Amino acid sequence: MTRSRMLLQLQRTFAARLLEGKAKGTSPDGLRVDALGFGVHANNTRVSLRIAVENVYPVTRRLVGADFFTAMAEQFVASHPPNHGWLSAYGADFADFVAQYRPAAELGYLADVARIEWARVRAANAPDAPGLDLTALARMDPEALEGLPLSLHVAASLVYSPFPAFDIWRAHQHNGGDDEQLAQIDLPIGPQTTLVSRPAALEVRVELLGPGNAAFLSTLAGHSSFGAAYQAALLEEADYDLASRLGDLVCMRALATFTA
Amino acid sequence: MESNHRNPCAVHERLRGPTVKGLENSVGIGLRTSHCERFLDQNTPPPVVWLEVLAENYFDRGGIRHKMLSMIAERYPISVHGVALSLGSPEGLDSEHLERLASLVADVGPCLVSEHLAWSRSGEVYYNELLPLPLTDETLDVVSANIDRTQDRLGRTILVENPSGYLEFEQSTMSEATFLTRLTERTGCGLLLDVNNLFISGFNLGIDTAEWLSAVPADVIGEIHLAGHEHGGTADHPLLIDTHGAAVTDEVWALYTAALNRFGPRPTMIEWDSDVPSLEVLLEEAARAQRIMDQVLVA
Repeated sequence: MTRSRMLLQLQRTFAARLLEGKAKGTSPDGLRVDALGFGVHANNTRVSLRIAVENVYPVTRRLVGADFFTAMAEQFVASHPPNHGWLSAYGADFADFVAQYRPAAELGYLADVARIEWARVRAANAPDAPGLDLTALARMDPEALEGLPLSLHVAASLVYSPFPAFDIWRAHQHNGGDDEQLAQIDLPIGPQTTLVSRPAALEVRVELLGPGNAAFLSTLAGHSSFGAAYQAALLEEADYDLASRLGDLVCMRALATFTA
Repeated sequence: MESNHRNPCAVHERLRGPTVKGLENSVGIGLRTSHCERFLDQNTPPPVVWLEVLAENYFDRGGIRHKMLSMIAERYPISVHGVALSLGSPEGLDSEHLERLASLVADVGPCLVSEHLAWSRSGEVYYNELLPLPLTDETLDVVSANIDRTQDRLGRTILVENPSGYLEFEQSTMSEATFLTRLTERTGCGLLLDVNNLFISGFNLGIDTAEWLSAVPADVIGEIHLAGHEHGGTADHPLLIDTHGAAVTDEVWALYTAALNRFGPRPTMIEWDSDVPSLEVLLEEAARAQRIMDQVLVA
């Protein structure tokens, strides 16, 4: 090994052992380093990344309890370590991991609650961008409006769940009495569609959408036109009042501005 | 990796001695999320001279955290402290990471920018931990090249922090004090002396802390960190663990006094990252550091 390759090889050997759960206290082969000291680094790595996941998913954690969550999150960290030195995007695929995590298979709603939690992080960190301005819509002639491709605001997400994921999420905002609250939620009540958005500079909101608004926004999110979204909303709610509902969605900053 | 050296002192304004604009002889604290609202309060802004932020917490150029920092930065001088640039990576720096750091520095206009003598990335994986380096000529080449690139991109010198040590590599050929001093000579960077880290390395690795203080030139020390640690390891092999989750210990306060007597007053920062207490506790720690600094100034 040439001298200039020594550091690269040393780091690869060192790094390969950091996320191995069973390697606690054993240092990597070929590195004559203090095993106990290596264990400190390995522990810091695993614990700090697990805590990064925990910080994003407090409700998911409450739903399964601390021990269950720790085991689940540590498996996630080991199989999905971060690729960047900033962690604001870390944990984006945790909900998908939860969805196929066998020990949680009976908790069908768990991944959807996690998706609501991730949508909150997205909403908080998304770039600043103006929302839809209703006066611009009002100036358009009806035909152009019909074909207008509106889209969701960059900070806004829709979370569809076949379960009452919004009710479950809302009932677990605080520690204490959670089991009772979950018992009171009628699981067969679902499905629910949740809108998560950033209506003001320092505020993230989580709202349950009625069937009309859910159809309207999810149709727009599928790159359909304004007219098609309105039709979809009418199918769900025959008396869907476009003007007032659009006002609500604009207040939530659910919709992006458009370039005419 | 072949290093490509120039003399960056000719290019960058070097951070020298205690005259860091706006921060002379003052104590700051780390800005933590749970305290942000207090610093946004127009009526009773907390009495602290400056604030330090963890750079990577503000790498999204928009959104709530960025907005809060922009508002706070209008009223307090900010120091940007990076924890994940991985200056010790022979693979080179992550270009996107460096660009995001540069954007943050451009947005906030910090009075200080600092990073660590560590690596935290290998291949495609980021480990979220300040990992140790063998102190060799090769490592000196690698870290120097990465610091050169960082300083070139930011257009300013940075401070590099001494690590808290838990293990040593038998490959090492020089002491930490020698390595860091040579790093400053090669790149023009300054040093951030973390007194708690030095104390921990003294305990865990047997580094002679008094020798460290006397070996490093005074004019390269641009900032000092103070933090708490906890006891770990085993009965046979006790280790001190750098948790940033407790009050500064008496021994670290004593080493801080020794450092100020040796180097002179330096901008000092109270670093508390886990189990973050009330803001008042941090302000009390800052006041204690300020009293020590004031005594050194009088003497």
